[in-house]
Amino acid sequence: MIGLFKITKNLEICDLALLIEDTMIIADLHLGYEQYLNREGFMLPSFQFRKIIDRIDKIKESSGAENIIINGDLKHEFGKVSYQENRELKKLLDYLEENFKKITLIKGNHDPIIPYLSQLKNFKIVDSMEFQNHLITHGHHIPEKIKTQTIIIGHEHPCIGLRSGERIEKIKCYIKGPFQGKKLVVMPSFNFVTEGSDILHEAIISPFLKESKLSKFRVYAVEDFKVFDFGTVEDITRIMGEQLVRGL
Amino acid sequence: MIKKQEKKYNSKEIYAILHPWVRRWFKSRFKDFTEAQRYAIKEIHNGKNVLISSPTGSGKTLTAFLSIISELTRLAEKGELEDKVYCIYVSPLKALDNDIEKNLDEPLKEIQKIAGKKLGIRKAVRTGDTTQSERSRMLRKPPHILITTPETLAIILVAPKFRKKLSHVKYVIVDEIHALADNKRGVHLSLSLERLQHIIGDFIRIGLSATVHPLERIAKFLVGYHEGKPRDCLIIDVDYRKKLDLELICPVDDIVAADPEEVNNAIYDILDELISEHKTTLIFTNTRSGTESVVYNLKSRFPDKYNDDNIMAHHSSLSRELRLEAEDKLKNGKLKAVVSSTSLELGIDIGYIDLVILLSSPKSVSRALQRIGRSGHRLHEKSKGRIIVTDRDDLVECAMILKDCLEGKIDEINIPENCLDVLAQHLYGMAIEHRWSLDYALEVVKRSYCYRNLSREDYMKVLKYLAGEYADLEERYVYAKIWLDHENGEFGRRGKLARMLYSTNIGTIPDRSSAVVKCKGKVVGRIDEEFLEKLRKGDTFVLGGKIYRFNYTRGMTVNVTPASGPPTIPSWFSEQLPLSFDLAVDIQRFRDALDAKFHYGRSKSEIIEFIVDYLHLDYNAAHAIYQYFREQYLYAKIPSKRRLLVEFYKGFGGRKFIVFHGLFGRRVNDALSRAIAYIIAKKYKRDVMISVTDNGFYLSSDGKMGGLESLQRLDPENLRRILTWAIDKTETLTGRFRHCAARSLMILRRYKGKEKSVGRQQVKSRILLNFVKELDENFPILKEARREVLEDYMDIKNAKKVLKWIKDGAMRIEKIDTRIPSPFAFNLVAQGYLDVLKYEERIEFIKRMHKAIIEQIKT
Repeated sequence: MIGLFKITKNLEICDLALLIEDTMIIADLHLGYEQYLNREGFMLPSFQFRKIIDRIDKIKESSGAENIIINGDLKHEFGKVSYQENRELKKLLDYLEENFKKITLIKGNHDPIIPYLSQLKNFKIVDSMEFQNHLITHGHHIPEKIKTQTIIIGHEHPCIGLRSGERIEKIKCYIKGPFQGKKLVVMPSFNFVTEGSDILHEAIISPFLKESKLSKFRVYAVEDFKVFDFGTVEDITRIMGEQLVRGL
Repeated sequence: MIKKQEKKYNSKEIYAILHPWVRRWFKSRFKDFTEAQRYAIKEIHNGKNVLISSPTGSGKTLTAFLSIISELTRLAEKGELEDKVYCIYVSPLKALDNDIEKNLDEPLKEIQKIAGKKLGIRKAVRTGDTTQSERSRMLRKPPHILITTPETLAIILVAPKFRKKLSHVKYVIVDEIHALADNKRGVHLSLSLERLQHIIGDFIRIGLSATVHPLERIAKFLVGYHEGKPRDCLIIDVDYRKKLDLELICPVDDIVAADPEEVNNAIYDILDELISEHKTTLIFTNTRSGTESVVYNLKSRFPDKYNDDNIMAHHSSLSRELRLEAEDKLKNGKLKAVVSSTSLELGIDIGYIDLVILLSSPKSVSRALQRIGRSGHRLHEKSKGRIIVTDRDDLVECAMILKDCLEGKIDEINIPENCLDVLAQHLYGMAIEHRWSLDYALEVVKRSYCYRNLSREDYMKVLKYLAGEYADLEERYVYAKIWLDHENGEFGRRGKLARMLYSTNIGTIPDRSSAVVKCKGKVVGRIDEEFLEKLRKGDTFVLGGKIYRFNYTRGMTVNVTPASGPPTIPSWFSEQLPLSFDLAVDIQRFRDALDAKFHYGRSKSEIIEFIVDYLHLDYNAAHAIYQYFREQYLYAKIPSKRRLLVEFYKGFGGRKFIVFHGLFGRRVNDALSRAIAYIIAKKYKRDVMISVTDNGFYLSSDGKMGGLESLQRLDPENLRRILTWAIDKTETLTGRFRHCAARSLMILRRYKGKEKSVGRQQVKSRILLNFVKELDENFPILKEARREVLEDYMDIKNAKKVLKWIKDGAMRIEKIDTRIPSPFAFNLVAQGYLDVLKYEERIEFIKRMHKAIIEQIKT
């Protein structure tokens, strides 16, 4: 049995998903990324769709989740729908309808247009939502009034680059820390093309994190359902003998 | 049959076949024919394929062209010269193409003058730089002599209109063929020639080569195969040796005892002296940074003699303008000296050079000859070369090069075979021409020397890849470049954009980009983007022999500050030229001989006498070698052709080192080191660090690495298998895969009007590599990337040879333990470039890092 990892009183990590009771939250699937690569000249056929479905299945199985929230960037292309997205979106939504009671999609910056949504019954689409005293929002902009104590965002695709000698490995991670007197949780991306962007070395993009003291954030790395509490960003960078690129 | 040309024709016989006007022009211009011309001109006239290898200054280009010009003149006189191409000249460099075009000017004009009427023989250069309007002009009035590069030739083959102008091609000249044959550009050209042959039938092939070995192989590469047998070719080999004036210079009396500063000062004094004594000196260093440093030092040490006006650098990282300026100044005799890395090795016109200096070993005999051959271009003049040695290992190496040069022992050339990426590109090009039967297309491909052994299985795999069969049926249309009809055994092109896509992405030279490194506002050098990707703030690394700390990047500029201590990031890519295997083995033989002398207690004077005699050295240099070897003999043992010495010692903090004193050249050591590291890493489940040089390699680890058993587990039969696993766990494969994916058009560098930066290509090609590995372990492009690493980048063939020596007992393995590295190990440890073999599972690595960081937090 795969264990869950509690990071707040009612928030648990189950691999690349966060759990609040029987609802699982995932973010940043970026369906259609392969076709975007094709346009850039990298002739890579779609290969991650199968992996995404398999992983959702496995998380659902080990957590018993009944509902699902997709916290933004379901698909990759801005302002248009590619052929691959069209095909895979349909397949994904069919799958979700069959397997979850309630499906919520939170809009990200990559998906202003999403087809097939009208066909779905147990479905709603929102800019952000409050759920059990959590604000769930994609994270590309900060909503005006935040009433909840905890905020959950995606958008950043956080990972950490660990180095030992000559070897560097990037590992997907959650980060949790203070934001304007509240608790902010940033989720890793739910796709298998890259690990994400290294928060220890690369530039931060989310306005939430730009307004926060990143050094105080706690890092929970995840690798194949295992969770590793690495302490704070400050600790890791100090120990790895490195400093953050941005002056913190 | 490939055979050596024995018959030398006399002047009368040659004049007899030349058109009278051409004869008159030749007589007005030259006193007589050169040796190469006596062998070749008449044979070309008789329609024979020839490969000409002769020293510079022997009128090589004219040898190739004279019969052709004569033939064109004959047609012109009779008014039979059509608007068609008769001769294609291919060289590796655009600059060389331009020179040739200019050099043809004079004879064509003069012959026309002698004729007293307009002959209208045209010649033109067509390369990537040729404009659209020039190309349409060429279509209306095609040049009779078309001067081009391998890449442009391949494009011409699919150009719908211009290819029709090739129907009369009777001659193809491949210049500097040795510089193409040893890499994928040559492989690419070999297929273009067979495709041309398929279109127009037989033509006369003429190859011009520097001195390389074996010429038979180059000849087969030039002429290709017909029904499994090489086509006929005559080899014309004019001995270079009588035209050589070569000496070795040891800058100080005792290079072993002298400190580096003293040696350095002496080198610059000698350089200054030599430059002053000559009109124009060409100095070769082995690296681009070395080039810059020599120019800088000469100017700062002798400010009243050398300045920006009379000394310049010339290397491939410099802008085109700067290189052209250097070439022009050379032609006009304005430079006292020019310093180059490899860019001036080939035959572009740089005017008259009376001295070539090689600063430190050029790493192979043929390269030494090629470089020295750049001097003394006047007919019947000797090429004058001086090799200046820079340290003790260099002394032994340079002395051996000198010996081999004088004795005519040239190292063996390696021609890549069965390159599936180049094949993919050509099959796509062929599909664009017309539809093909599977059997016949394979037959055409197998006419190339480089594909004569191609298996049908690999051929089909490449076709299947091109047909997009790696993608699901429903989205195949995106990836399919050709259609492949298995049932009827045919294939052909698919998509309207095919020709455009092919023409804009053709070629085999990988895109590279590098970032400028600045220290306190001053440029200190360049680093590859691949290397830059690994740098983290605070890292220290070596550049141009100095250590710097990485601060930040802005655009493509890297900011660093000087630092000290051992670098935290090894240099993953070495710019250094690899030592040739044959030369390495010769040095080992010499070590054998010296070892025996010490062993049998020969006197100092006797041994020094032997060195002087064997290596053609002076007494000071011989004395230095004696000292160096004696130290090694007394402290440890002398590694040699009969003894592979393996040295074990513990470094700082108990880190374990195993030094393999295998003087095999870097390409062989690259292979052996990774295979042994893999065996160790697998057994002890940990990462092993690897450092490789020409003179050996070492492995190091924080934990146990065992003894000699890892080396003993390796044999000629299992090497390839183990290495294939090993390179999957190192950084070497990733970069090569990107190049192969681009060559086989799986990555389109120029697509839909966009050109991609190399940096973006890297991240995404890693995604592509991971995908391909999951898809099929034998995907043709992955297979090719592995082959390229094993056979071209490394030298698995000779690595097997070494393992066979060990297996047969011709080379014994001997183990020694030392407390500090032995004298021979010293340079090896100090100069290696590094890689790491990652064996630890990713999850284990994360667990270990996690544990280490958490423990640190607690304390």
